[in-house]
Amino acid sequence: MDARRTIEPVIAALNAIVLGKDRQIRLAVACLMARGHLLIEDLPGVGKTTLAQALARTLGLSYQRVQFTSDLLPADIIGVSVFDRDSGRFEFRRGPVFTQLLLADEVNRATPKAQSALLEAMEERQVTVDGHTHPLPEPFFVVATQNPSYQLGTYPLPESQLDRFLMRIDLGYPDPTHERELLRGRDRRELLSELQPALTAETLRALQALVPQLHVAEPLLDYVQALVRRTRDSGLFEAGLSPRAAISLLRASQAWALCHGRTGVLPEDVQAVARAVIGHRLQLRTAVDGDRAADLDGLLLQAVAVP
Amino acid sequence: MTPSPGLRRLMTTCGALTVALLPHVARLPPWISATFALAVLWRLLAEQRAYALPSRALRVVAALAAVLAVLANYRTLNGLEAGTALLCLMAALKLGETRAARDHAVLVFVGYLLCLATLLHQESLPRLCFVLLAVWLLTAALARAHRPLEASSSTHPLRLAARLLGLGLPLAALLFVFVPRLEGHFWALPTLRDTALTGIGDDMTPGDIASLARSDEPAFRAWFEAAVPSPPQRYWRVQVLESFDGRGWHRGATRADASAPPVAADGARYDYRVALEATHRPWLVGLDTVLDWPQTLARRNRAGVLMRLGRGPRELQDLDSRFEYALSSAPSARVMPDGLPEDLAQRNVELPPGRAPATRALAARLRGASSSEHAYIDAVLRRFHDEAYEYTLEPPRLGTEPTDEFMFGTRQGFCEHYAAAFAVMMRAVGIPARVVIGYQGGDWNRYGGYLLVRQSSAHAWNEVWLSGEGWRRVDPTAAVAPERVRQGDGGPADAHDGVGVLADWAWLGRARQLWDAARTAWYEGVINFSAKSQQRLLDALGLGAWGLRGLALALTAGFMLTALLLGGWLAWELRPAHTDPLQRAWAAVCTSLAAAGLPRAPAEGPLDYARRVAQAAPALGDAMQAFATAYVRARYLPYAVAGDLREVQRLARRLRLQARKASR
Repeated sequence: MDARRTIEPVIAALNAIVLGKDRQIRLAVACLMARGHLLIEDLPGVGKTTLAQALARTLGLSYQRVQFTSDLLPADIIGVSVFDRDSGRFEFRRGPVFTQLLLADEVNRATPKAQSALLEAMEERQVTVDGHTHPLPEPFFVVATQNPSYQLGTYPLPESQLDRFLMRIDLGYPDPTHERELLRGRDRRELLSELQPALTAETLRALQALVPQLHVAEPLLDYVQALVRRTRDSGLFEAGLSPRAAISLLRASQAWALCHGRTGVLPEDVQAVARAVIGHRLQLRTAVDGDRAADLDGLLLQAVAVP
Repeated sequence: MTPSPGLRRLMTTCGALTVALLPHVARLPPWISATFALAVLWRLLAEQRAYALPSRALRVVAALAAVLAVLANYRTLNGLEAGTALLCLMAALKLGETRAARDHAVLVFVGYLLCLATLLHQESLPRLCFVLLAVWLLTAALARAHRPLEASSSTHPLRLAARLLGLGLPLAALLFVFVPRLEGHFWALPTLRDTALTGIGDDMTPGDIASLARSDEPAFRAWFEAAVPSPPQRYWRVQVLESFDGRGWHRGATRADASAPPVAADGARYDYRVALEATHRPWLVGLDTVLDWPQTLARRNRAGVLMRLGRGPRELQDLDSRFEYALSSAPSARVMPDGLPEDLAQRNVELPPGRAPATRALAARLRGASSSEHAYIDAVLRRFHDEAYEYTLEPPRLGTEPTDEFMFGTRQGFCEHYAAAFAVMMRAVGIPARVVIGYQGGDWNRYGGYLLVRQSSAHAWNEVWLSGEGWRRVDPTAAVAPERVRQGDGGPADAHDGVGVLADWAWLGRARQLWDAARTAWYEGVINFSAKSQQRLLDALGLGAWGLRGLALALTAGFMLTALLLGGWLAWELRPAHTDPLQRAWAAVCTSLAAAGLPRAPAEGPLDYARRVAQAAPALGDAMQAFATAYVRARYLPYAVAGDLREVQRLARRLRLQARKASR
């Protein structure tokens, strides 16, 4: 299977909906391929929801959306057992989490209790209620959006839970050309409804299965390890990357390489995904939560030589 | 406006070169220094204003003209003077084609040669200090020239140069000590004769030594084996004047076959070594009275004057450079105690007839009042002491009858006047007497452990012959100015010699002593390090049996071994960082492209690098893309086969070839 030829139409379709965000779209797709979950952190109104919906439609996935609020309860996400008078038994009513693509909107506005219900489901890919285990659909992909944590009324996700997301990306404002196109063009919702799936769920699963098998050469492992070692030894970060983070970085790199039609991973692939994969897992020692991405570039990627 | 990096680099080199040239300026014809200065100024201006440098033809013509000019000036291109002049002119011309670091290196090496010439002219310690400074600056300029132009730190080259010189010092010391020395002059080093002759003359007419007394130059230094004679005993004989013509005193005619006088040695004996500065005369200095001297180097005449032997048995040789010899003296030894040969007795009572009548009359009157010769001598000395005689370095001029004028008229004078008058007084009553000139005193240098006698200690005194005692030393100056004789360790009497104002400051005196000790150590240890001293050192180290040949062999072997070890270490340090042939090919390509101005950022992946190279140098684009693709396939992608490596290596060669062409 030519992965690139399969995926490019998806990218093209997404690009037609979300304008001028090619890199973010590719990252989102790669994240999905690597069976990871995606966190989009940005201001309201820059197209987070649109991107999630477009992803669901082009990939032919079932789609649910949960708007997180401060009074959201775990049952509102997972579902609830209801007593059925007719059968005389409790019956489980599935919550919105039972879908292939879940958009968890403004995840940091909910209480930690509700957040952790979602995050557990993300990690386990199953839900256990009243002793019964209910597997989630396959593929299962969560796109969570988050307002910048300095906004009022937010419960920032703890670092341990940020770790559950394979990537964190931001969308940012569109550039003037694309914004003009956006203003002049048709309503995005209309376009969304016309969008045809570019991929079947089977194809998607097959691609996902290919990712971990993609060839990784010894020198590339050297490079990944060198990057991880620097996060631990340089003293620039509060804590170094965990082995799970290292695996995540490798998986994401493999997915990125696959999306670009390669049969093996290059250092460039690692560099392309590194910021999205590592950015939310590292805390700069002196950081005041400033421009973290720029810091990462200079302190990590530029500082570690490609072998 | 801050100067551009290129201008700064040029200023560094020109500055260091100018410093190296400075010691030569006084000796070089002014037009050469002027040419050099103009060339430097022009070149700096040309750099700032981006003028074009002269064409090749013009440079060749200028070089020929410079050679002809030197030839016209010196009639030769050979020798130190002409060579230095040529070096300066060539450095000035070289500035006209100085562009790359290589040209700067040539200028710096010219500077090193100028430093060498400086030391060939004169090997003094101050010179050495200056040359060290110049070499440091030159090395820094060399380091600066080989750094990237943009490197802004101006202290880094200086620190680097200091470190390099410091590291080189032990090696230089090793070579200095152990490279076998061959006796003889260095090349055709010209013997430079100082035009101003200092030292003690062969004649004495009042006023001669007055000018000498103001000279603070060292006359000689003496190292004593054991005890050092006390200051009043420090009479250093040089010359004896026996013939008086009414005005001045001269050396007597010495018979060629005359043997040294018999000496009865008693009292304390001093063994010592003297290092006498160049005097351009054959006379040697020795503590009164010399008993033993190196028979092959010197001989002594009947007046007790030591002189240096030349090649022939009777030939004398002037001291044109510093001369060292060992002596043994006994201050209380008696010379010719058993009788004065007739001819000497005759010569030492002779007075020119009719001269100094008043003095003779005085002598006769005093002698008549004295019971013995001893009493008479005391009476004469007492007269100098009691009456209004004055010790001064600036006495009034004397006319045609100097003895009488001095004795009864001016009554002002220094050692010469008193010695001359005293000798006349003695001879007038038939006591054999003569004038001795030499040095009196000496400063003990506690740092170097030697006595330093300066030209300002030059002195004149008398010797009278008394039967039963032999020649006895009498210093009439001591009767007039006892402090002139009692001086020793930089005592207050120095005030008479014009340096006392400074000597009052103890620290300054100590500093002067230290400086002289350093100069002496430099001379003794370095300049005077001969084959003989080398052999002594080797003996002390237990290597004496090796001999010259063994030493040379050991040295050669040692250097070869060191070179081998260093080479091995370097080979280890510079070994290819990658043993993997694929990585080597990649590293080689990166190096080639870096040389072509397209270095890879350390964190740059192969494909990113290829893309950037293709953008920056489209000529290399295809080759780079092909190479990078092959490299990535062999290195990162699955199913690599053996052929991949060969393909990568082939593409790497092609790319490197193109990169070299592009960089040219």
